[in-house]
Amino acid sequence: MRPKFTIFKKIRSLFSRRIHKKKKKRQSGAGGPYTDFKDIGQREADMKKMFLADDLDENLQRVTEISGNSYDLSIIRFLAGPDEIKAALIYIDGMINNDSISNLLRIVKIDTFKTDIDGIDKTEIYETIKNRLLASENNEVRDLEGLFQGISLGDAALLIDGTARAIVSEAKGWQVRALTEPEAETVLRGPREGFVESIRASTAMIRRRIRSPNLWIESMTVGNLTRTEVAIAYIKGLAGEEILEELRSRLESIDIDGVLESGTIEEFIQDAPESPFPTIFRTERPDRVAANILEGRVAIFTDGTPFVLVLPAALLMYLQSPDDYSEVWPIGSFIRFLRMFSFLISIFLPGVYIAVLNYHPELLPTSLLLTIQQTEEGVPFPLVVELIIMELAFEVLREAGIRLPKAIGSAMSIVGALILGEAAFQAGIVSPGVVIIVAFTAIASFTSPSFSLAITARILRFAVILLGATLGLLGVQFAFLTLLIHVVSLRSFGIPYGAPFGPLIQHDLKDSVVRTHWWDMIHRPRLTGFHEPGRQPTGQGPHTPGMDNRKPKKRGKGK
Amino acid sequence: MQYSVELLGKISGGALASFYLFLFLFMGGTDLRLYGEVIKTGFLPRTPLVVIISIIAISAVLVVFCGVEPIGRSADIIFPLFLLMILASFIVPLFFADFGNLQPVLSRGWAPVLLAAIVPTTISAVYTNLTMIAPSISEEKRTIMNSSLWSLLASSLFLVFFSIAVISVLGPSEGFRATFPTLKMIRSISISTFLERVEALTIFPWGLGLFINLSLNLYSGSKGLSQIFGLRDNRLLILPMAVIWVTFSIQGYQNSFEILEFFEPLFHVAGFYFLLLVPLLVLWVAYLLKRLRKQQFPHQKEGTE
Repeated sequence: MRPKFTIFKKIRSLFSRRIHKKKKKRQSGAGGPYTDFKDIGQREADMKKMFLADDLDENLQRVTEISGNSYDLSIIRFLAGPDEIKAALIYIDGMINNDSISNLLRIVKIDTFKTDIDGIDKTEIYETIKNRLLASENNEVRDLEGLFQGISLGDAALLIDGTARAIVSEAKGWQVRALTEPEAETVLRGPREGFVESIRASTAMIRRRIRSPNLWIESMTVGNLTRTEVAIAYIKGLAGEEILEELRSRLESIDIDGVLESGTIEEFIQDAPESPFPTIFRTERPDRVAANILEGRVAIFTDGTPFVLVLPAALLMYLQSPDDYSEVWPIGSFIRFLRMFSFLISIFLPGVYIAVLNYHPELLPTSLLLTIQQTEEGVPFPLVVELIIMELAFEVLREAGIRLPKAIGSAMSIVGALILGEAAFQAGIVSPGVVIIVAFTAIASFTSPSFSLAITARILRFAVILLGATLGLLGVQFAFLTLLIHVVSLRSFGIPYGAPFGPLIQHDLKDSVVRTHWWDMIHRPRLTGFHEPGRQPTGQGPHTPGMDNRKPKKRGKGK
Repeated sequence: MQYSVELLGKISGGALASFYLFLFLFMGGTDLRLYGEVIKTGFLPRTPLVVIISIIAISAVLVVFCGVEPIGRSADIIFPLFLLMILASFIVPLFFADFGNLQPVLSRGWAPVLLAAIVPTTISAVYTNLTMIAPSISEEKRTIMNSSLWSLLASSLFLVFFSIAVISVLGPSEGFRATFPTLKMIRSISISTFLERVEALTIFPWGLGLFINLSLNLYSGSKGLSQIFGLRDNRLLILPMAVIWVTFSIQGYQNSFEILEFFEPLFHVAGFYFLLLVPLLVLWVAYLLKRLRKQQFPHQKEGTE
């Protein structure tokens, strides 16, 4: 399919180039604006085939032809050197640092006068300038694609008459949002900075946390029109090469116009696109990403979004919060257990409630049952309808709460939660039992430290309600089993999603429901860090001074 | 399965194999029916049996569709839950036990005790399943042996404990008469006046355990059948097998008493021979033949089967 298509494209481009040449001849005489009617694919393909010419005017004409005199494209024409050779500087206004540009111009204009070359050819001038500039910040390009790639990243391109090459010099300087704490993932204790939209700033945050040169960051471009920069960060020798290989091939196979958010990439590369469970972890917190990279996982940075993807993901990662690790272990474990419990509640509680009340009222103590059923009297709907209405109303409230401006948000919560709920209860439309259940479920779902899993629970809840309403506790059990089967059969880049519970991995249980002491977690997670299982030596716990009960230091060895 | 075909020839080996496949069907169907009956009498008296049974069967079908790995993993997750709940449902009744009910011990000598001991031995028949999944286990053979023996010990212990609990709580005559003695025992207790019905505690883990058991049976059955017919993918057979299962479990017995009656004389003796001895024999002969062949042709590689 594909090769045929490319052949077709080639033929088309050959054909159109001929037309193009004819047009250019006519237009170069007139000198008017370019008004050809090529579609976007054709324009992109044409640009890829265009190289720089010797003549400066010809080059500048090509540039304006491609970019159509865009108003933010600045072209500064000037004369360089004692021989007054024509030169031009091209950059995009708003993406460059003015200091860098003036510095560049200074070098080109003043330094060329200082040289003792006079009256010689233009290539030598070019070489001199190139050598004067700091080599690390500069690239030499010969084609227009490279030139545009450079200036679209905030670089400035220097063209000199008589050379078919251009120097692309680094002059990046666009506005970056200030570092703020990510609002969706707040912690009580831990770093307060979150990633920003600029990929360089984000990768630097990881680099600052992991200073080893073995932190490798690969870069590639995704998106035919947006040409978004995407970076893969991992620790060489710790992250599984198979995972990296698979990831690279999946990323390279993405052929799309634009990538504006890492969600686009996530959908392209994830293993189970139909599953409600997220199989790629995303976060805005640098400390979370760094911790995962240290365990042998891989992070994907996308330019233009503060959300960084981490893979391979396991279900447990979504229920862990950095807070667990900064508190002492009994508290950390307790919080974590609470969170898992509330995740289960947020899926199953309404379903269980309806199953018990409709099918197995005998399971409740008699007095409790009587109380509930008294309040249920006079409510015009069956329990299922009531529950689903309330859940839906709550979902609407929550969605509205996200979209509303912050100033109106508090008013919204008063109207929504207090007035609406109170009025519905007073009017006898809903029973207080249902309100309590819905409210508690909602609160439980807010404990989840990552939104992507909380939203999964929101959807699954409705399915469990329906099953509980039709089949009672048997239906709830069925829902439980189906979810279980689904979770254990999921894989994220070859790593089982249900680990370390299904499959059971004994070493990793130290950091699952219970978190042990930091000095006791001597193994890296077995599935992702299997290359180098030992994390730290044993026997680092506190000891009574003088009592030499220290065990011999030994790095933990995995199976 | 493959051993029996290899040893006994295509037809007789196939017949033996299909007998065992029928056994998988039989055990699975019986389990399904029993659980369905319990749910029906205890929890959902007005729901038709077909619905209950098919709901359980569907979950087993789902997991077998996903392959053998998810079965193992879900067992990994279910096992602690199962253990926890079973222990709870076993410890709680002990507060209401009257151990005097257990007396007299050994009043008629050892003979009846030993005779009755054949019953739990048949439980080990379930381990024929293991021979089906053993090829997909990556651990060493010793580990498999160890874990299967441990599980055998544990399940026998549970049986003993539950018999003790039932007899000591309900008394010998009532325990003997009840259709589902364990359920009745748990139902008879109430923790203070607040929690009066704790039997959900046993029903739920039983369902979970049954799910694992069923999915294993279904997996072994479909795998074996596909081997006999030479099919590459056993998934084609899962759905038809499950339908036959559900039909069998509903049509096979009139009610739960019939299951018990059916099992009394036949199963213990016949089961002992067929479920335990024959597969062991087949495996053993295969092993010996392999050794022999290896001696005859030392250059031949292992694993020619």
